[in-house]
Amino acid sequence: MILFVDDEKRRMENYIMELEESGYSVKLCTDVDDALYFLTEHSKRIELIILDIMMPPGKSFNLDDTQMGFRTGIRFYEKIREVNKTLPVIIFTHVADPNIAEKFYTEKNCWFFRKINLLEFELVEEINNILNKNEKGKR
Amino acid sequence: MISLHNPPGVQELFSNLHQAIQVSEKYILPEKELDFERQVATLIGSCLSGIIHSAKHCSNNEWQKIEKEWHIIPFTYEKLTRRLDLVSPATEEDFIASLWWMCECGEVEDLNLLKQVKESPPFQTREIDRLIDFTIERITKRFDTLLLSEFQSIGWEKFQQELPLLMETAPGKWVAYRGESRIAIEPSKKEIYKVLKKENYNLNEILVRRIEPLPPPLDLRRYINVVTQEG
Repeated sequence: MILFVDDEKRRMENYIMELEESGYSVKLCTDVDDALYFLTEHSKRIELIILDIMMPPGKSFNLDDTQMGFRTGIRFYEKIREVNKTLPVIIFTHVADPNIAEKFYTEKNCWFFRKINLLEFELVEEINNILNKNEKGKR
Repeated sequence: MISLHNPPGVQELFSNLHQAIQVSEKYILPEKELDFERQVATLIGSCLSGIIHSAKHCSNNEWQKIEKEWHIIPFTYEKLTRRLDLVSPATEEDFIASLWWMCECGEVEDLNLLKQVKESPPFQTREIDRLIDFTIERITKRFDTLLLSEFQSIGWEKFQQELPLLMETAPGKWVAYRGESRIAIEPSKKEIYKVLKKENYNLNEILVRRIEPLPPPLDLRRYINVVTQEG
């Protein structure tokens, strides 16, 4: 199962549809509190996490700590690593700050993609490669 | 097999739709104009996602020809809907999400829009006021930085000069410049950032590019005319 953490359901629907058509089961959490609960309760079922950066901080994170929600995903990523150090995580974001990109480029088991650079089926291909399911990938 | 250049009926339908939108605009009540724009944008969004969905069926060769444009079109569409979400958001969450988007992807021309929104925001809390200020500050700073980043603009010039040679020696790899100096060529973006981090470079001074042909200039107006003409 893929845990997709993104507050903008309407903008992520096409990605989710493409993933499901490619055979993946996807759990979308639009709220970081729900996502954290799901992560702790069902961690063994999760194969990969797709994580947005700019999201409301919810009750789990405070406003200042996340720069008014601007960096919530970074705090969430740290929580993921407390639970599981090897779980593949795709940071999927509009964030363009090269320092943020560089932080995630150098993390293990972590991939950083800007949303504007990946069309729906390209995200699926990246996930296929990450999960070594290349036979599903086309390019 | 339908020719991509002239699919029978599609051009005509598109032209009729374009005309219908233009004619309709004249009869839309002023207070309904934003709803109308939003509906048109939603319609275009559905068409785009359908078209993009089809892209996975084309060959590698075909894909290389359209890849650049097909990445730009959804971005152009998103830019339009984000602007609509700032002026007439469906929910407070949409409004905030669009401010965040503007922080990262907003352009100089969005500053005027944001200043108008700041004067009469659709939702008003202390956090939203802070976020609007923060967004304006971020866009201003980003464009200031771009203008002032001399190392990067010199690097960009150098990259364009060297591109023909690089295409022969290292096509598909990633290259980094600091001013006129080419400081690294690595097989992937991840590896090049590792090198930059190891060498403690200031990333705001570095230009990182993939070694590939530069895209031809693209006139975006032909994609967004439908919703912006006379608007």
